[in-house]
Order: sequence, then C-alpha cells, then structure tokens
Amino acid sequence: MNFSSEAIDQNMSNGHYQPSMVNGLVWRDEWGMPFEGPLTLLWKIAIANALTPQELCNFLFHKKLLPQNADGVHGRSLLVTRWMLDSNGEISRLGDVTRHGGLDVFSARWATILASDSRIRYCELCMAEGYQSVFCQIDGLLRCPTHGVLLLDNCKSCGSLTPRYALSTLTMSSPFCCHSCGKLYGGVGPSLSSLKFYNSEAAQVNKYDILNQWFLSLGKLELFWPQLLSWQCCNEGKSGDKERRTAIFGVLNHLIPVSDNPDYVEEPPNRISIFQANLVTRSVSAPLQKSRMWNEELGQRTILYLAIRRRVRRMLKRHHRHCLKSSSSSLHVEWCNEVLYSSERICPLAFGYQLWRHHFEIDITLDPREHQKPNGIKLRKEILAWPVDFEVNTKAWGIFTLMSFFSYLQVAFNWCERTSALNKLDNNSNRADFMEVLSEFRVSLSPSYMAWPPRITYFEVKNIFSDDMNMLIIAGPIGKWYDILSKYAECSAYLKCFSE
Amino acid sequence: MSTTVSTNPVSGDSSSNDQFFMLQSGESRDRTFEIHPIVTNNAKIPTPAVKDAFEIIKSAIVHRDPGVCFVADSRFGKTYGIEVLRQTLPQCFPKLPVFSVRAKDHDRPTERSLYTDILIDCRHKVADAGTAIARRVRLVNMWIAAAQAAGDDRMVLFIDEAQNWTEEDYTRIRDISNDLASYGIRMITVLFAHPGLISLRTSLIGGKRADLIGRFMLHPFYFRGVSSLSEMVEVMKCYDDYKISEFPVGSNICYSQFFRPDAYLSGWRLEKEAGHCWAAFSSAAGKHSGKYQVGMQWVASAIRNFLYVHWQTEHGQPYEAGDIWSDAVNESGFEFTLGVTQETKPPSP
Repeated sequence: MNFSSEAIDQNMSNGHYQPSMVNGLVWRDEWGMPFEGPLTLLWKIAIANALTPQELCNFLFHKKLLPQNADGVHGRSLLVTRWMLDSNGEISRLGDVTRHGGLDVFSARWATILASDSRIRYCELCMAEGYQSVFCQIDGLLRCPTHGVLLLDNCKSCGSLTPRYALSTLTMSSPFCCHSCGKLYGGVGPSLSSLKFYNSEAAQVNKYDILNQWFLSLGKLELFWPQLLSWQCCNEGKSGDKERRTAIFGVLNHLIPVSDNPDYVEEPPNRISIFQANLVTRSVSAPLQKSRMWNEELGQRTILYLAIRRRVRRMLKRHHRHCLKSSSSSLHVEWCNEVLYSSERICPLAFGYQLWRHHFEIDITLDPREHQKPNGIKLRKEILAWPVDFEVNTKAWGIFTLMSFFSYLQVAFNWCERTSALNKLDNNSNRADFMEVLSEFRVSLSPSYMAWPPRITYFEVKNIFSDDMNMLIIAGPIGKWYDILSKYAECSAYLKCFSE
Repeated sequence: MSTTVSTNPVSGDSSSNDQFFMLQSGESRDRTFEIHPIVTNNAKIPTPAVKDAFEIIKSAIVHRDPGVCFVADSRFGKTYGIEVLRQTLPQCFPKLPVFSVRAKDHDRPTERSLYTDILIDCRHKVADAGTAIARRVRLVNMWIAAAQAAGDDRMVLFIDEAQNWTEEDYTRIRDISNDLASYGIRMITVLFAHPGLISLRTSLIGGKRADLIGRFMLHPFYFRGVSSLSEMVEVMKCYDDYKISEFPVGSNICYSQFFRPDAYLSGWRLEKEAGHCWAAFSSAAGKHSGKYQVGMQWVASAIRNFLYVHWQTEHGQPYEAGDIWSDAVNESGFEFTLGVTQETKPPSP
C-alpha cells in the first residue's frame, strides 16, 4: 500500500467528500429527473433527511414557512421560486436544484399567466415514479405528455383536492401521499424508505421536453398583449382566473402547437375562436390625409355594423318576432350608469341583441321599428376606435363586431339563467337577491363601465413570419348559427307559453 | 529529488525554484516554518502500527467482517492514525463510503445525543433538530444514500475514543447496522479506543452481550507505539521521504530536508539518527520497570525538538555542548508521563 503524501492527497476528496451529501444534506443528483418540479424534489429531500416542513424551509432556504391561504401566488410558491434566493440573490447548491425546477425559470413572463399554485396537478403514473413536472401546473395542459393520461388535482382514492403547490405544512406533511386519506397519489409509489427515487427507464421516456421547447419558441415571439389579465373567460360573478389561464394557453397553443395531439390541450369553458389579421401600416404621414382616410374607415365600419345588425335582426324576426317586441317594453336603461336590464322574464336572444346594440349605438331606441331609420344611427366613438393600440382593417373590426354580438349573447344567456333561479321575480326589482345578481352583471350590462366586451381580447405578434410582418390575433366567443337557433327555439317556445 | 537546488534556481522547473527559495534563509522560509506540520504538531506519519492496522482493516472490509477494534494508550497516535487510514483506504476501495466519528462522553447518554454526535461528525447540516426517531432515520438515510452513490454494499465507520460509548450506545449502533443490513448494506465498524474499552468489553462478556462483542469487539488489536530500533528507523525514514512527508505541497522537500537543507544535501538523513534517538528513549524508559513502547506523541515531539535545535543554529543560536537527543527526549515529557509503558501481550478475548 502506498502511504505517500501524494497518494493520500489525491484521495483527500474521497476521504472527506461524500457524493451523497450536498450542502450538508443527503442528496444525490440522480434523484432529480428532467423537468422535475420543486415539489417532488423537496419531498425527496425531506424524506432523505427526515425533515419537517419547517426544518426543510429553514435549513434549505433560511426562511420561515408562511401560513398563507389567500388567493394569488403563495409566498412560498413552488411555481415561482424567486423567493428561494436570499437578499443578495444567492442560494445554496441544493436550494438551486429546487429553484431551477420552478416554472419562472423556464418563462418568467408566462409562469403565473398559464399556471397556478392553487392545487398540485399531477400525472398518477409519473407520481408512481416519484416524479411531478412543474409543467403539470399549466391549467390548459390536459394530459401528461409522457403517459397520455389526464392530469389530476385530487386524490383518486378519496377525492380530496390536493393542497397548494407551495412549500407549506399541508403540502409537505405527507410526501407523495394524499394529506387526507394517506394513500399514495400514484397508487404505488417510489420506494421511500430505501431512497430509490430514481428510475432510469422513466427518465428515458420522459416527454416533458416538448413543453420546454414550446416555452423556448414562445420566448422568441414578440407578443404585445395589452389586456391580457382583464380577459374574461367565464360567466359573471366568478373569478375566472383558471378559465383565463386555460384560454390563454389555448390561444398560444393555436399560435405554436404544444403537441400534434389536440387532446393534450384543454378546451376553454366558453368556446373561443381565434382570428388572425395583418396589421395595417400606413405610409401616410400628413395629418389631413390621415384624418380623411380615418373618416372613410369609420364610415365603412358603420356600414358593416348595420349590415351585420340587419342580418341578425332578420334572423331573429323570422323565428321570434314576439320576443323582440316584448323586449322593448321589458328592458330598462338606468339613467345614472346606463345599465340595461330587465326585471321581467326575457328571451335571452332578444336581450343579447339589445345589449349588443346598447354597447354599439348611441342613444339606443328599443323601438322594434328602429331599423327603418338607419340614417339616425350613430355608433359610439370607443367602439369605432377599437382596438386603439393598433390600426386594423375593416374586416378585423367586423370580426370584433361579430364576436361582440356573441359575447353579449353569452351575457344574456347567463343573465336569464341566473334570474330564472330567483323565485317570483315579477316586478319587484328591489329584491336583495335580484340586486345582487344585477351587481354582478353591472359591468357587462353597461357601456359606461367597459366600452368593449371583456370576453374579447387581442394581441400583436411581431415579426411572426418575416421581419416586417406583424399580426393581430383576435380571440373571443363566436358560435355557430344553428347552435343559436336551437337555443332560440327553446326560448321562443318557453316565452310563448309564458305570455299565453 | 534534485540535489542542485541551491546552485541554480533559474534553470530548473517551478518546483526547483520553490525549493531554492524555501531552503535559502529568508522571509519565505520563515513564513513556511510558521505553518510547517512539524512546528504545528500536525504531521501525519504512517507508522508501522498504522500500516499493520491498514492490513487488518482491509481484510475486514474484503471479508465484510462486522467490525475490528484497536486499543492503544493515549497519545499513541490513534486519531492521526485514523486520518491516515481514512485517506489511504480509497486506494484499495475507491468508492467505499467511509465515515469517521469521535465518540463523546455524556453525563446522561441518550439516543438523541448519540445520533446528534454522529450526525455532526458526519457533517450533516441538520444534526440537532427533530425527535430521536427523526435523527435516527436521518442517519440511516445518510448511510444508505452514501452506499447507493458508491454502488457498494458496504460502508466503513471509524469510531475514535470508542471507550466513551456505553452498552446502550453500542446497542443502538447495532440496531442501525441491522437496519442497513435489511437494505443490503454491511456496516463495518473500526473502533479505536483507550484501554478502558477492555473494561467495557469484560463487562459486556459478563452481561452475555455476545451480539455486541461479536459485532464490535471480537478481537481487540493493540495499536502499538514504536517498540524497537527498526521501527524507529522506519518512522524516521518517513521524515526523509518527500513522497510521504512533503511540505510545502508540490515542493519535493521532505520534513528533514527543510530543517537541515545543507546537511541533507551532504547526505545526512534523519534515519541515521534513529539509533541515538532510540538510545535516548531507552535510557529514559529504563528508569521505569516493565516493557515499554513509545507513543508517536513523544517520538514526534522528540524529533521536533531535535530539528528545532538545528533551526535555531541556522538562525544564529548555536547549541551548547551536550547530547541533543537526550535533551530532545527529555523535553518531550516522555520520562515523566505515566502510562507510556504497557504490556505488549493483548488481553484474553
């Protein structure tokens, strides 16, 4: 045996360095798999070192747990992991392993827009391997890319909702198991006691790289989405954050498909249609000339609106003349805030149509003969100026008009659904429950609050195909005529019975 | 090793240049002296006892014996011996996980204190938190992970001052060893202890704790000191060999050369002093009865004193007439320290 100092020095590292210890905690780099989220990484650290949630947070990040159950991003969120850094922006090596699992590392811009930490979302087959990808937190992602099974946010055994995707007491109290019934999320689980967290086969078949590539592609796009977080994707009276995240993911997936399989992406709850339009870039700089062209454009938009309105009205009158007529007497506009509503039962189609007009036209007359005097119709300036941030052609504006009609139709249907649930509505519009519903719908019923329907959104994509080609994407509800008519027929029959 | 270092510092390689400046009187040499292992009493020499212990441990690891046990008096170099052994083992077992702990004496030894002591010595960050069960799991997991990472089914645990642990402590270590065995990992313990461990062993035999005796203390080996002239020569050869005792690292300067560079260049070697040194120790020990061995503490101290005399001479303080080695041995405190002699016969098992 060689006892020379040279030989000993070469082995110094072997003598004192343990490959299974990182920053004084038991950890093996093999335990982390590609695109693994901080959740399962922290669970593994907690198991290997027999740490409580408090000890884990304290020893790994030198921070305390936060007893936070409010909405919004958790103070110890595992989705956005910037909090793991200390005040100098530094972090231990093991802490950095978990930090790099955060979604904000892949895309700081889209992390909280597409995903949330309100619940742990997981693939049960991945969880059986001791793995959960942070990409599972994307609400719009319906299936696990590796196994193709639906992602869950509850326990399959007892149905309890999973805890928050955060370093909290509840989340960390029972690694890989339901906090309520104690059963493994994956049915079978990794061999926790023998620390066999790593499965080379699972690592080989891992397909979460498609999400990584998708975020890389998304990062290369120059997107300008001015009203992203005010896009309404659910019915009135709900927060709709999850629906919005799902819808945004759906729209972005339309732009850059995540997968060839459409089943992997969840359909937004309210059907969203997407239109692409090239942005107009005029080479005119003279103010007078620009003003003249703008006036011509406004005239064309008014004509287009009237054409759409005429067509919609004609269709309505063909099947439900009675509803249109009665709506003029039952609808009421509040003088102080321009809220249009009815305290009586009303046909949702007629109500939606009038609501649409109310938002587009100045001094709306509910007289059924209003179509006979088109010259007197003036559109609201805000409507004509849509989308303000960009200059679009008449066709794009027409799409906006059509989407607006369907938006207000959705509002009307929701309104009728909510008010029909109230007992004995009659004429007592001062009832508390009615006022509550009215309060929830107020913003959608009046152009004073929002000039444009919040169910429509738009954004600019710069240089999408070539350096000078900018595109406007418009997303909002558009249904099919026969869908409307089927609902129309039901309402018509109902209202006829009601009036008789 | 180059012997031309003092003649041409420019033409040689970088280590030759370092040698030149290190062996010439000056600020650089003085600074190095301050931190030299001989001066700081930090020299780790593979004594014959260490080499013998290595062979015994190697055999235990190969055959997966549950444990081996070494007993030696205080200051015989057990702790440094563990360091040398721990650093040398990877030559034979490159990936073998090796941990080293120092058993602590407690007024009230408990499960928690035992696990915490071990976790601290194994440099676990969370050593003093959680219940006894949590600390135990932490400890077992740490060793499982180490074995997994090494791809080995064994791990070695050096336990210094092993006489400090009680029967209960050894029982707990046995349980942990059983836990590891259930995951296919064999824990091999290497105990280094004061002769007080023999008392504990006797007590365990009386208590019919064959499980602990068989596992930890089956054959106590004596970790002997320097017991003959030939061993003294062997030890001193280490001081003359830069491959074993090099300082500064990469300089190719051995310990003895650093202190007497000119003499070393002229052919002097410390090993040639072994006879004088051994005679001085024999003279000092002869005043006591019994067979004797010299612990490494006193050997190292005497050598340091000897070399220091030459250092002072180099710095203008000539040594007054006398026997340098006798003085060096006397100053080491060997003669006046109880327990420097011991029976060489091991206790009956």
